[in-house]
Amino acid sequence: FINLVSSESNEVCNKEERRTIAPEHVLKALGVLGFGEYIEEVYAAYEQHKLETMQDSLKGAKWSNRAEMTEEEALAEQQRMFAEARARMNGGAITSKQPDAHQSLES
Amino acid sequence: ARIKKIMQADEDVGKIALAVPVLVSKALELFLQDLCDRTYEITLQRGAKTMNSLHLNSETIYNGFPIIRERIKDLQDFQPNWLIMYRK
Repeated sequence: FINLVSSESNEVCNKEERRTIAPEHVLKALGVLGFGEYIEEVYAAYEQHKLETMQDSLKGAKWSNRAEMTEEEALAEQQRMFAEARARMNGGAITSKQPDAHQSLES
Repeated sequence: ARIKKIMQADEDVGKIALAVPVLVSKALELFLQDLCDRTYEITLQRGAKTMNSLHLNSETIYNGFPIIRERIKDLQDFQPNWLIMYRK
């Protein structure tokens, strides 16, 4: 079936004196071969393909944006780590106080 | 990628636009759906519950796809084998 459509598309392409088989040539070939019913759905698939191609390029842009966000997040995480370190020092002091209180209770 | 290779197996076929294999794959889907529908009708006619290769025969191709019929010179040699079917 693929070879059938290919050779017919190729003939359509040659009639128009072009070197590359284009989507229009495939659609015309389907008509010639008696698969006219398919043309609408095939064309819809073609449009869908166009949209997806555009979305892919947009996704690429988003990805680069994410990289920039990642750097900002990295800075934020560094600050968080510093804050946690400070809290740990304070927390250590608190922890040392409790045993003292405990000892005073015992005594 | 597979479709592009199959298309370009024909030496006459030159360059193919990027979107063309997408169109061909969609056409192939529709063709196979039609073929399955017609074969299933034959399955039902024979009172069978399971479709098998015997139901996919020259009658299906002959009635449903006249263009393909023209390309099968000798129907008596027809077999439900894709490679044989489409070898020119």
